[in-house]
Amino acid sequence: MFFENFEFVELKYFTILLLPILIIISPSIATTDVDIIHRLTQFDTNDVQFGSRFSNLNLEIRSLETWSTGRHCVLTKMEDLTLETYNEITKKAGGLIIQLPKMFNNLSTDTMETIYQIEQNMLSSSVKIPVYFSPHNENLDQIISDINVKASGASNSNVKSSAISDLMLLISSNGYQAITSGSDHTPNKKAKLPIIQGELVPSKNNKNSEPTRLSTIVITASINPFRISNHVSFNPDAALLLILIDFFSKLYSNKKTTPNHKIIFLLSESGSLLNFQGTKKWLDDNQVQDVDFVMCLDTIIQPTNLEDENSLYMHVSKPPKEGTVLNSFYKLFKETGEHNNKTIEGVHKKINLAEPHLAWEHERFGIKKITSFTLSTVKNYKSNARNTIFTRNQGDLMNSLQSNAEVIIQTLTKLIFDVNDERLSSSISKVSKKTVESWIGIKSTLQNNDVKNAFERYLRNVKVTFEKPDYRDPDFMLYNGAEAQLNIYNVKPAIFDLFLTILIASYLCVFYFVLNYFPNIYNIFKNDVGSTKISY
Amino acid sequence: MTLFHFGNCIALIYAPYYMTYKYAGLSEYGAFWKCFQAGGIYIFTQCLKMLVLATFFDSLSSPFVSDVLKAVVDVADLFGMALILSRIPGKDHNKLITTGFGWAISEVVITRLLTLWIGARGAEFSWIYIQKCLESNILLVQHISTATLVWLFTRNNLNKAIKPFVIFLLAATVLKSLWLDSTLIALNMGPWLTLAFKALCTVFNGFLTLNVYSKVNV
Repeated sequence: MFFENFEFVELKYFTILLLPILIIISPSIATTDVDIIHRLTQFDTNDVQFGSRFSNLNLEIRSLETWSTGRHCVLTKMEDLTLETYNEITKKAGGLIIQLPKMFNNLSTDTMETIYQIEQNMLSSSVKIPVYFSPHNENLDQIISDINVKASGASNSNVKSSAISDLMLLISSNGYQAITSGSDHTPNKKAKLPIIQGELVPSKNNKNSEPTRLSTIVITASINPFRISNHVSFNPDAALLLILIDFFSKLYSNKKTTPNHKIIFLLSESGSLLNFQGTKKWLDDNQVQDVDFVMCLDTIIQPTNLEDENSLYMHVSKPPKEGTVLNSFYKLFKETGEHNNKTIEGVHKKINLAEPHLAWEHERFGIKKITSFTLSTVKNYKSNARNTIFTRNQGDLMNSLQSNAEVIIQTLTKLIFDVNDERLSSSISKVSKKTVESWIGIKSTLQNNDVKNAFERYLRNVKVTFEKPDYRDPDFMLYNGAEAQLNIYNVKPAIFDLFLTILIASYLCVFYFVLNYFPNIYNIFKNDVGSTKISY
Repeated sequence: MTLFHFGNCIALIYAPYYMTYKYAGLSEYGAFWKCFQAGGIYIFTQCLKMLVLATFFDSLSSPFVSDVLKAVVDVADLFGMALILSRIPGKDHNKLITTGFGWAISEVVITRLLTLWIGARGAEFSWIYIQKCLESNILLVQHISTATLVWLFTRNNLNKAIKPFVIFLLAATVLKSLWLDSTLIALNMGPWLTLAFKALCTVFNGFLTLNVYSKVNV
């Protein structure tokens, strides 16, 4: 009995204590919509830091014109930003939230170029403030236009401002507070870059050619694990690689064909931003012999119309010598290109060993004395087009990929099968839109295992290896916190609260006097009654 | 918005109550415990109302019907007040103010305090909390005049000519949520005008009640 009573008493006190504690620790209600925003990618390669080094944001939002100190977070549209203002903001402001354009295609050429410059700048430098990207959304659009109107209003009123009107403006002003949650910027030590490889060997039926004597062609492409932010994926090179796999696996499985090369396909998840670490790892792990050439694919379609999309460049570290396979490939490529209204040009750039950051993927092979080249629509390795997230519409990109894929397939077919009949090669090399469509949206090797399944379906000896950052001396480092939740609160300045206090105090004074004089009011009523002498 | 803003809201909502308690003579009579009892009866009444609403009226019926039903259940408030008036000893004025005040303060503590603590302290600024505070001030006046009306109604020595008028005012008070809110929605006024209109109605109602009361209580 005693214990039962005791428990009951305990429970009662517990409830009495618990309720206030629960109330006190209860979080404040967030009434605004929560938006997911993407942080400017943070990464290190060869001990050089890139991207946004911070992630936490709890600052007042200002527009491009009105921000002044490190206590302000600038909210702007990507279109309104210039390189100078971006640099200024990253040096002095407390944070930056950029709304990405709704339709990049509709912007003027100048704006596009500015955006590319800023993007390039973001990827090649590190900033000490959190920089976030938000996809276009109505809510944010509203806030941006609101703060911009306020900015223009404030600049107009500067003409004839008195102290009182300034104060009133200050009191009536509506502020916005940006608070991010779920963001961090700790190193992701468990990050790993997958490298997937597979090979195409001529089918066993045509044994007349010795398999050991087959020389090898290596075709490589990279999936960019990130660009300025992680949320947009644009990997035409990987798509082209898979189109090639699709196409050549059909030709190789046909028993009537006599291919004279073995093809190794290599897809690594480290682009130029990560200094082709995946390729480096693969080269360290694998001994490749009898390689005729390595063909790397890099920016195989132009993301925008800014550069000529009908040119293809063959980047080499050493000009091809007469009589080599590389030279015959170049000649075939040029020929096929002309046939397909493409300008083919060879570009020669020596490997700069003093530079830790390599310009092209083929230089990784070049260092190991393997004949290699890169096919690209980009002439200069510094081009902004290589790592952009801003692209034309999907249809144009697909057409471009289709036509470029056809040229490359034709050239390779001619080389591998020793056919020189233009009509034959062009008739078999038709790439259907469906094939392009199915591969253009590739995001990552490991996503749904799509890429791995494709490799396993078409190729032999499929192997997935992973490149991880070294524990002590990492060549590269990726960071957590790619995205965060953004809450934007409607806030009032502190002076407004003070003003409100004064108002409330005066209201309470009035209330006090009414209360004190209430008996007088009552007496008026009473006397009124008394004079008319109504009795009950 | 901040703790400061929360403080502002608390001052706005509770200072008038404190002043009423202090200067309307309640503190002199030691009415604290009486107010507490009135609060208890308020909570009891509300629980009863909830029970009735939850048991007999389903939410599926049309909004108008459910609104009317809710207003009918609000009649329980009057019985609650009558109960307080009959139970609590006190001299005329004081008894009425104690009843109205006890009723109003328990309502304000129960319905507003938590909302303010969670909402007004949050990062987002909204006028709604200031509006709620002002509305609570209006409710104080409202409840005291309702208590007076209930008291008048229960008096035997009330003039027969005045009685229908008192009943009319009581009905108007109970069905306030019905006629006032639908008028306000029909007029489509902003929150501030709505508040002002409510204040005006309450003050008008208060003066009428005061007039009747002064006639009775000569």
